[in-house]
Amino acid sequence: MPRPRPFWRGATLACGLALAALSLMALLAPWISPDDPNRIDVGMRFAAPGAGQWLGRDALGRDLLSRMIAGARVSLPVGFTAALGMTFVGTLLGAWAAYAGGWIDALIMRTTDVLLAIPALFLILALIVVWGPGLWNVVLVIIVTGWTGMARLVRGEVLSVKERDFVAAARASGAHPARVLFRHVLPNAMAPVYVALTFGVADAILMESGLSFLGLGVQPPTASWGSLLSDGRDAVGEAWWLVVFPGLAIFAVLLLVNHLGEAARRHFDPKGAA
Amino acid sequence: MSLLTVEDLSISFGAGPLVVDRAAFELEAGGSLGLVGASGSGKSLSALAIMGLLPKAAAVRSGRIVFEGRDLLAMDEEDRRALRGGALGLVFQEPFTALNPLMRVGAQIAESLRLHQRMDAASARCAAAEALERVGLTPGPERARQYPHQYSGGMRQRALLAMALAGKPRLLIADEPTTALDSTVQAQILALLKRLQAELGFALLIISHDLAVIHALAGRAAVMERGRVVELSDLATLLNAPSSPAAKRLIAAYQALGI
Repeated sequence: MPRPRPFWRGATLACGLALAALSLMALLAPWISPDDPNRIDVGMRFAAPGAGQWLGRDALGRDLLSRMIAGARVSLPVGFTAALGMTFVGTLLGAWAAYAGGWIDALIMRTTDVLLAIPALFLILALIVVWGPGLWNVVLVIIVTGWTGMARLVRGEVLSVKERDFVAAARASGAHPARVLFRHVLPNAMAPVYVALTFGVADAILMESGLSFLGLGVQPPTASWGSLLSDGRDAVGEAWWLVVFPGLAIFAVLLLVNHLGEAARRHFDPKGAA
Repeated sequence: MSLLTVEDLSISFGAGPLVVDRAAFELEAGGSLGLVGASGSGKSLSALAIMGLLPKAAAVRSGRIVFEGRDLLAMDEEDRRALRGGALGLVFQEPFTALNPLMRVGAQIAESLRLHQRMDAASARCAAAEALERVGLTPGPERARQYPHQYSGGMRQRALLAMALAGKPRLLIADEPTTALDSTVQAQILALLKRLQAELGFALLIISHDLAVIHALAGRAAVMERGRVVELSDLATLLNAPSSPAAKRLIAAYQALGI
């Protein structure tokens, strides 16, 4: 009888700790920041990475490292809440559609069709115009436009899982339909969701950057990783660091979260744990 | 009075032809009846109709299914759900896929116990281990902690049997319980079913295309063909002097194997 292995071990533990460190860094930003992220110093315009500015300075002479630490306070919460939100909404609606069938299925799936048919950016712009700019409205908008892919993924999985014999066996043992769905069908449909969730985090971080770029997300001079990346693009010829470091930060978070998603998928598969 | 009476049962998919056509058979408490026939003859659909688990597309066109004096077809879904896994047990054909791969075997049995015997979690866990020992999976507590992929096919079929028996059924329907298993394991499962029936006294409706399985477990059999019950007789008569062409074909096919 193999004992279940703990989830936090090896590379998974390292990824978890790295994410925790990043979150801590975001929390402690005002105290650990080497410089004021918004202090302009035109004399230090495009200063290359080196002592005094470890990751270089931008077009207004602001310290990139300080701005990235400050930006983590925007990008991490937006990325995680938006990804979790759209996973939650998408999973619930997708599972409901597949399990109920009939007109409920038709209604939910046609809604996703409509949302997917409208270019996401137009939909987002329209919603932001109605709700107004702001960080939490951005999260809400990302959830509203982003749940459809997850709903389709979950619906497909649930449709295939609910035809499996153990679901019929659970019904034959008299289990309540809700119990059959939440105990037998959904857990067996979740494996791809863990992985999709991790991509959702990166998507949300980038979506926020796009909106901030258009002036609809965080308002300047507040930084987010996405807005740093968009700003840096204009000066990529003179100052490569303005694109590379924010890009690496987003890439690193995606890598960490993706590994955690993979680990979660393996962890919840008893064959992987044995 | 008989435990189960199926009268004039007709089932079709939508407005299509009848896939079960005025089927009728009955079963005494503690008795056993075989339902034999080729694939597609309506055996499994009849069983699903008794359980109330017909696929959504299928509908009962006519007939009555009377269990312990109550017409199942006239009952509402909540009452039927209370019977399922309780007084009515079902053993599935496919032991490899009929257990939830993400749940420990003991937890799956305990689920039924908590529902039908109103047990708390701790006593359900103990009872699940006992249920596993009763079907020959020892040591019970350890087996209960394992996942289905750690079981062999025969062990899974035993576990499914334990699950179906957890609700103390008065009627156990076994739909091709040994078809997916190799022949030595088949013999073990059939012997186990027979012993459990003697111990626990449930009535057994055994569905198979295999006359040997029916012969091992049932004294009487209904032969189905194209949705109709074409012959209903005790097994000696069926094997030695079959009257319907369908029964003759089944026996001829069996003898052609030279067994």
